[in-house]
Amino acid sequence: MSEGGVVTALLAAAAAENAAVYGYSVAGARLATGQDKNAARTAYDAHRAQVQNVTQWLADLGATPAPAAPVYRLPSPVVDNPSARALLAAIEESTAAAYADVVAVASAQLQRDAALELQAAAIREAQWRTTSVPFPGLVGRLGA
Amino acid sequence: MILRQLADLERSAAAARLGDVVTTSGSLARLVASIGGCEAAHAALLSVAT
Repeated sequence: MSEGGVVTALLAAAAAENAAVYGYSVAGARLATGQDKNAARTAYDAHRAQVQNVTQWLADLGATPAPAAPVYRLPSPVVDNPSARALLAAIEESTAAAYADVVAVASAQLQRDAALELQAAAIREAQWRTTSVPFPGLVGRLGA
Repeated sequence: MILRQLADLERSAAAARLGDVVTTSGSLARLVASIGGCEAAHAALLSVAT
């Protein structure tokens, strides 16, 4: 596996995690129930923790991620509970896809850690959609 | 009861997939990891349903 490929994938994962943190901060307030707000808070904390973990993985490879942007372009506007859930599901799919890319190029413990993070994102995506997702992290990319 | 057992099976399968993934690379690794994601999500949804 080329180290450059791993660094590139991890830089994208760091960007996805920073975008996720931003997305949760925007969408969390629009969720309808206390249960969903609590779930969003837990997910927000998980994504913040992952920013730190991915940053450390990059540091181990001698690389540094770009700092978080103050604002991220959202794939869809958040105006109510359904649109907030849709955004959070899309964020988790993006996160899962980023980790799928890491899994494809990494090896050993890093590959396993990325696969575990893909699973965590898949769980959160399914919870926001309230249904299972076929091939999380590969949506629109099967055959690639 | 059956749903709980099924959730446990899915959870075990997802955990096993983490071991499988490190024996693969490239597109196959991506696919195996995604299957693990499916299984983990199934376990979570089934746990909510029980």
